[in-house]
Amino acid sequence: MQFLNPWLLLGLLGVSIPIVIHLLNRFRYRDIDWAAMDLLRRALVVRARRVRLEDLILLVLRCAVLALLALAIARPTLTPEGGAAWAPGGADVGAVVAIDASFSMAHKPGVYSRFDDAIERTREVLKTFKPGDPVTVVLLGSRPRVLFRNTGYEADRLDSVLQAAAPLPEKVNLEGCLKEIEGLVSEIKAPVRECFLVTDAQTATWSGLSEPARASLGRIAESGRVFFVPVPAARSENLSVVRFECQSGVIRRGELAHYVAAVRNCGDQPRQRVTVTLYWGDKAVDQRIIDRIEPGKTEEAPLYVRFTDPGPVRLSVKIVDDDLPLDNVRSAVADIRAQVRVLCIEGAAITEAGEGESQFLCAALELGESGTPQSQVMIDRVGWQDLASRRLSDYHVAALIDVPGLADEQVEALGQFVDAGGGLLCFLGPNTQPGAIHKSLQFQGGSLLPGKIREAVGQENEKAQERWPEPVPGHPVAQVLAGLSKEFLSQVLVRRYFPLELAPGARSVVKLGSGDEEVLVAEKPLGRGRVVLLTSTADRAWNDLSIHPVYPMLLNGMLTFLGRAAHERPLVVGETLALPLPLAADRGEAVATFHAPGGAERSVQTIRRDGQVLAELGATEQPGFYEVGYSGATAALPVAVNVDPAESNVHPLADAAVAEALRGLLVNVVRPDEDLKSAIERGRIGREIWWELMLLALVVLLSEGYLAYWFTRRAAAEETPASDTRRAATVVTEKEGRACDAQTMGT
Amino acid sequence: MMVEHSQRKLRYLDPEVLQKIGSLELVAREVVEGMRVGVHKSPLRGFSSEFAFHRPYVSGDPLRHLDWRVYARTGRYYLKQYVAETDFTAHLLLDASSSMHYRSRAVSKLEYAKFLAASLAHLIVTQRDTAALAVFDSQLRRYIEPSSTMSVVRDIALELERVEPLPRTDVAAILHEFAGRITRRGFVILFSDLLDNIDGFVKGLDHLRFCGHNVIVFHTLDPYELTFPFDGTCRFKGLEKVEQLVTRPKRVREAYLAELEKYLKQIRDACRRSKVDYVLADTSRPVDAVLSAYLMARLQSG
Repeated sequence: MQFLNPWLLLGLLGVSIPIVIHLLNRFRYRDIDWAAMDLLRRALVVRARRVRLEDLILLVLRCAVLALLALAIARPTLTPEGGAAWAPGGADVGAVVAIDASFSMAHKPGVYSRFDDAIERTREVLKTFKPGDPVTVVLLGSRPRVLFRNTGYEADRLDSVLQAAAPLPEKVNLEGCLKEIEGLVSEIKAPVRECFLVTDAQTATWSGLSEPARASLGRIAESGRVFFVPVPAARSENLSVVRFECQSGVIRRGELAHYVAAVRNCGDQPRQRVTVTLYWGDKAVDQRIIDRIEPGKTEEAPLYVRFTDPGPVRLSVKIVDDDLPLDNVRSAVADIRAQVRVLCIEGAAITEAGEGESQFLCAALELGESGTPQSQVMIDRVGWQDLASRRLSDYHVAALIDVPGLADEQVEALGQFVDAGGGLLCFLGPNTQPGAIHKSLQFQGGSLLPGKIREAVGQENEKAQERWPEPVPGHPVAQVLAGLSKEFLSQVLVRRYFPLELAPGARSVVKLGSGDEEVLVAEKPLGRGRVVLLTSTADRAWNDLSIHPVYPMLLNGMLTFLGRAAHERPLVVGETLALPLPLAADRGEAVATFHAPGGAERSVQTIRRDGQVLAELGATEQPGFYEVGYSGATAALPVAVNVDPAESNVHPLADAAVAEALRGLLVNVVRPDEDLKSAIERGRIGREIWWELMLLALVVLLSEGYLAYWFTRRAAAEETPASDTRRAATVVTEKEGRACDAQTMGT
Repeated sequence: MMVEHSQRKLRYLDPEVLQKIGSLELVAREVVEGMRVGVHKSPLRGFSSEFAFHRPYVSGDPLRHLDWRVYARTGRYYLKQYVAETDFTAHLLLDASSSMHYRSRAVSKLEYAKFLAASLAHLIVTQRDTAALAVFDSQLRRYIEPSSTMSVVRDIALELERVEPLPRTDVAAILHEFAGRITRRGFVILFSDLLDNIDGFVKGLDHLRFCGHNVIVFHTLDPYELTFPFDGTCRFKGLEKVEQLVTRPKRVREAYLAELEKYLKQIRDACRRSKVDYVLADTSRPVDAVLSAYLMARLQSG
């Protein structure tokens, strides 16, 4: 026998209450002076033994009532070993049914989707329960969604809940969900606890279970029976847009931007002529056809768009619909600026002819345009001693070019500029003293730079130690160089540079070798802005970068990256949407309103964190464009949210792979062709007996009450046949006595 | 009412009670022997106006009682016999043992019995009979000689005020003692809770009846003794005996009442057999109501 609430067995101590009361009553009495002691003694002699016996019976019954109540609320259960198999009636079962609701479950090769099949399997599972059995139904996604929590089973109610359920545009977070299920299973109070995992057994989710997930499954299996119920998955064909981003070019008004869309064939058959279309809002602006995509391969389609107007632009790329439409579209946001204003802060003096270290930089950014007000990039140059004469808030990007150091107030202004969302581009050079520059560029307890600079290595004219840039894959700035050949990049020679020890949170973008500190370009976020560091010179003194065609590409990439706003970074469904707003941190609380892709609207109070004003929505739930409006904004800021491409591979695990994945865990796998009902009911033994105990307690209580009444009244019935004559015969006169005698004699 | 012979108010002579029973009288049903002419039947014959019967003349009889008319008709000598009427002497026996001290309300059984005794003494003297008082426990403690003057009422009342509870009861011994002490047939009125040996009490009654006395028993009991209404756990301490009983009265109440019923039945039966008047005096009832009920019942039964 086991107890579902074992700690409530402490209630058995309550048995002592009647005993204590009984003992206390024996020693707590009041004194009464009494004349008719003989009568009382005779009454006691008659009743004493019986009273003692009756008292004992009543005491035992009262103790039994309390003991039975304590046992009942501790909810004892009969286990198979404890004789449950011989007890009448069916097993008392409680279950958690977890339905995989990741977007792969929306895969619909025919009439029914995998999720429809999962709902059908769930109905089969639920049919094995009795009305009132505690049931929890939960959808698995990036986090579990509980539809029905530890509630008595009602077929109609549960059916309507399941009818309304739909797949989520999310990937299953198996570790997190299993941990939650562990708690849900443990809160079920039933002799037999069961957990059903109804899933498409997607390879990406279930192969190679992580240790925490295995541990959670193990613990669930310890507290109940676990069933792995895969739904049938006949076809696994699926095309998916797995990537959509700006490849090269500058995102500025009037410029042509090069985007790339990567399409993956997750199915088993090759796909021919896949049309990829780029949309600006609802308008198609470019289209490409990919001739053939082999199974398991990814093909990229270049897409071009020219931005004509400033402001945020909603871009989407779509492919033709297939069995799983959710991953056929991918979105991005580009914030187009009318003009990018750059302030070059020079460490060396600028000659009257305009020569200086920033000369090459200016040429590369302006790309032949003169510095007219109509040009896309407006560059101002200033000596580092004259920095105080400029207002940094007038610029989008500030470039420090071989500056030996800055005054404290200038560093503070520069830090606040970056913190408020500005970009800082740093070049080093002969004027740079590593110790001095670090000491100088201190902001909010840390360095403005993305790492600690070592002493420069290499010589200005050294040939033997020439190095060339190697882009680090994955970074947007490096992406500009990613498509270039190694031979082309090897023409860019870097003769001297400062090795860099990256600070926490900083990333290397372009490297010069395999060593950790051989970094040419590094970046780090600071507040709402970013800092990019090039560890060599901006002119050709230490490298050939500034005279190579890759230089304007790299600089414009940096400018695009530094000028990129937070809302341009796309999110994955389930990620938290927390957007820094261009509001002063010392401003009072404001209200931000989020519009979800489905049309739902939610207003939140802005919060202040790390000196920024944040509008935080929480976890995103739909793919598409979320819009954030706030007081003072001219237009709502769009944020692109996409599905996780990892979920696009809808291949299920084979039976053997499932067995391998669940090896060592007490999990019953019920294949789609197996009879689910008989598989579940086999070995389902266990009964709860609290109801019977409660009934027994009630019977004992009623018996005690009846016996107490009977014990009191029985004596009266047996021993006082003529008690009513007591007062009637108050006066007996002598004559009545004679009459009585005569009557007796006559009789 | 002439009950105050001094400035002191006599507690147990309640004018209200005396007024209510004033119109009643205690009449002897059987013959009593008195010293004076009264309203009660005497065992003696001849000196009254009420003819009783004739008896043959025997030598020595006074000739003045010969019925000459009978002689004229029959030629035989017969004497006329008349019923004599006399007064009686009532002995009020008051049990003053400790058990009589029990009270559940303002008046104890002893005090109630004192009221009864004083009231009856006044009634008896008022109807020109003679009253005497004996206070006892296990032996006779106080005794006031019989008298028919109103002063004896005052003496009795004063004596009653002086009576304090005494250790133990022995009713039987007192009844036997008085059966031997009282030479003339009269009334013996007993006030007691009779919480004693019933057999001895019955023998005492029989002894008194054998001597020809009219006996009345006022059985004085407290209402709590009659109903036993206690609750919870109680320790009962004996008033006469050093004895303690701890019990839950609710559980033994019915048994107690059964024992009480059995005990009362024994007493009532004994009184019936001995032709003794029995009055159960519940101390919760007014004294005048108890006395009136008894005297009325006695008058009606002739």
